[in-house]
Amino acid sequence: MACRGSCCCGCGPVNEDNARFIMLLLLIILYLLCGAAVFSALEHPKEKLAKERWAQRFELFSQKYNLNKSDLENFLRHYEEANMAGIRVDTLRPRWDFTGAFYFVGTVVSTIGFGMTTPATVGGKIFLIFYGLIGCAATILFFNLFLERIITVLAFVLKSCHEIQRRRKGVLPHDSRQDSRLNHEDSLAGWKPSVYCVMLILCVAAIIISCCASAMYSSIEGWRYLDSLYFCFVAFSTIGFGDMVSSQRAIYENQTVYRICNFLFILMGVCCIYSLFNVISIVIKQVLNWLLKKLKIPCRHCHRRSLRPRRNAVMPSHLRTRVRNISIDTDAVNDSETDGRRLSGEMISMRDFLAANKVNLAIMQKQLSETANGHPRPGGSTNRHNGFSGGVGALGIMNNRLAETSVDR
Amino acid sequence: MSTAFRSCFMLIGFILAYFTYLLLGALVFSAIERPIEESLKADLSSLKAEFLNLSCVNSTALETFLERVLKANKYGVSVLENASLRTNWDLASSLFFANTMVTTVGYGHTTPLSDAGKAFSIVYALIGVPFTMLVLTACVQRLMHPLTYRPISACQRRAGLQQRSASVVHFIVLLFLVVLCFFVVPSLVFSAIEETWSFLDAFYFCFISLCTIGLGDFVPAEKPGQSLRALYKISVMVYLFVGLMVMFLVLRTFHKLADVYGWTAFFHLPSCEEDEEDKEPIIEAGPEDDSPEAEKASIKPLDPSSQVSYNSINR
Repeated sequence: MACRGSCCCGCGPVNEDNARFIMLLLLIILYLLCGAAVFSALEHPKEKLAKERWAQRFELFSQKYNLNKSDLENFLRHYEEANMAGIRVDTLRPRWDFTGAFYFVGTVVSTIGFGMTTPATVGGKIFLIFYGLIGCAATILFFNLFLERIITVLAFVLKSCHEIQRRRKGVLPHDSRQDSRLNHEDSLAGWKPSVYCVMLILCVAAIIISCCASAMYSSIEGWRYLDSLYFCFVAFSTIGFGDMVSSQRAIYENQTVYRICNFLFILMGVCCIYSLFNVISIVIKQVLNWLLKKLKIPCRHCHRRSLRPRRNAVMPSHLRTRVRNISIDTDAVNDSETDGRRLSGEMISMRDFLAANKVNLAIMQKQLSETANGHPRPGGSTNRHNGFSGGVGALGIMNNRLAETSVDR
Repeated sequence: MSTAFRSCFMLIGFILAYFTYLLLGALVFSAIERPIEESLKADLSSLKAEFLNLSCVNSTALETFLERVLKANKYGVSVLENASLRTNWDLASSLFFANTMVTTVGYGHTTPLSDAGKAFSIVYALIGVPFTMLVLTACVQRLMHPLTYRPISACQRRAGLQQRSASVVHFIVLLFLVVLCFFVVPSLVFSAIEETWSFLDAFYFCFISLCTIGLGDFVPAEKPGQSLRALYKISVMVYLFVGLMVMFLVLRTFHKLADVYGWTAFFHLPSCEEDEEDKEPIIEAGPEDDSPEAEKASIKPLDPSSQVSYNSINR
């Protein structure tokens, strides 16, 4: 009976992960379809109107000046080819002087990619491939380091809330900060408010930066405020359509100050929006977990059907007691071995332990520090370990996700 | 204090290196692209003068007309093509646009022009971008087992390699396969389907897309009279999603490789501060604190400690 119980516990997280994964996939497909329908409904009428207007203007122009239509179309075709290379009727800034190239390079490595300027030569394209390969990776690392500092500062700010909740007095500020973080990560009840607080603070920061930048763009570029806000969002989230691009005229009032402010606003905005996206993804995952709780009964039904084809009786207990990262390695070893060869599997596990000396040492240090502090929960250890090896870009989300999963268990 | 100074210096050095990288790239792009721009300007000027001589069009009227041409061009209405047969906002095109938005590729070949479209874009992408990142992360997590952990374990058992060598060999093989399957082969396909693209143009497009830069100078399925256009657009959409997934997989594999070699310890600045803070409460584990400082001495004490850990797990 105890054996069956451990098997059920072992099967649960795997099935729950799969259900969560499938639900995510279906939701994003549904999300794309809904978005496509809305965009098609909004933009299609205006597109038809623009086509009709253009046909009328073309007809009027050719009649007014007695031009041959094919000649005019040939001229316009040549003109649009020059337009793609950046030549315009309006006097725009030169595309490939140093400041223009710097602006282009900044949009490339941050993956905004407005596309108002693109390399036309073969050498430019080849250089862009190698330059972007290193630049994008460095930028992702930079944003991730910024994200770590933002989270650290916000955790420090949220220390007072945890102090009030835990009602601790007379503790050193150094230790209380550490304890505050431990409590922040250990308790499941304390996790969700902190995520929402972080999201709220990042939302406010992003909104403030966007509103200030929009005010600057609408006054200098002559755009409407909503258009400026739209440009800020598209640029800061690194989508970068390029239908509106700042700093493109030849001459501005206070040109140097405007360009510096433009650069700083885009840099700060991208950092804040990037952090906000990470936090929103955590909230989305919590919503999915909440939905899974409602689907609890069908999951249990699935448990029992998949009970016997699952793992050996001994391994689930190992999985249950081990830390998350080691269990991942053990899963790999277990999959490659037959179930009957338990001793061989255990020996390979020991080899993995020896090979991952640093990881084990870090885990043991964390466990011992928590024991000394009086909080010996393995979930906290996992959180701390994941906090150490914060991932790059989307990997940060994975670490947050793993930490949250272990906390839920 | 010394650790704090060291972390500050590392951060400042990293930022300075980053800006130096930007400056060097700007110089190179300016040197390469500026002559082409000037020659195109000269060509356009001569073409315009020739056009004005041939006809009796007033210069002011022509510029007014051309401004309207450009405004119509922003709507997607183009004189270059017979655009009456094609619409930019049918379901397949809208789906392609939504996909490029939530993956932050953002070609910009079609953009919302109405206020409602712009407002909806903000809300849609604000939820869609982290949602997409979450899905990609979940996919990468599942791909790590069959594509990274299992091959490394197989290398360790069969070839008898150590973890470092196995990780390096695995990463090189994975990188080669990714470049071959997701850059070279799709480039051949795109250069075959899109008539005006050369192989370098197609490779350039694949790189710009999978890095989510999305400059928009090359966008597939935009040729007039493209057969099976809806199916082609959806296929490109699937390619982009799978390609992004594989790019994240390579990034995470590289991160694991860097962990094995200890490179990430150089960049993880807060971890130094964490180590310093954690050493203070550990009084009972004093001798184990000495072991990370001396790498040679770390082998001997780790054997009994790992055995102790393993035995405790058994119990």
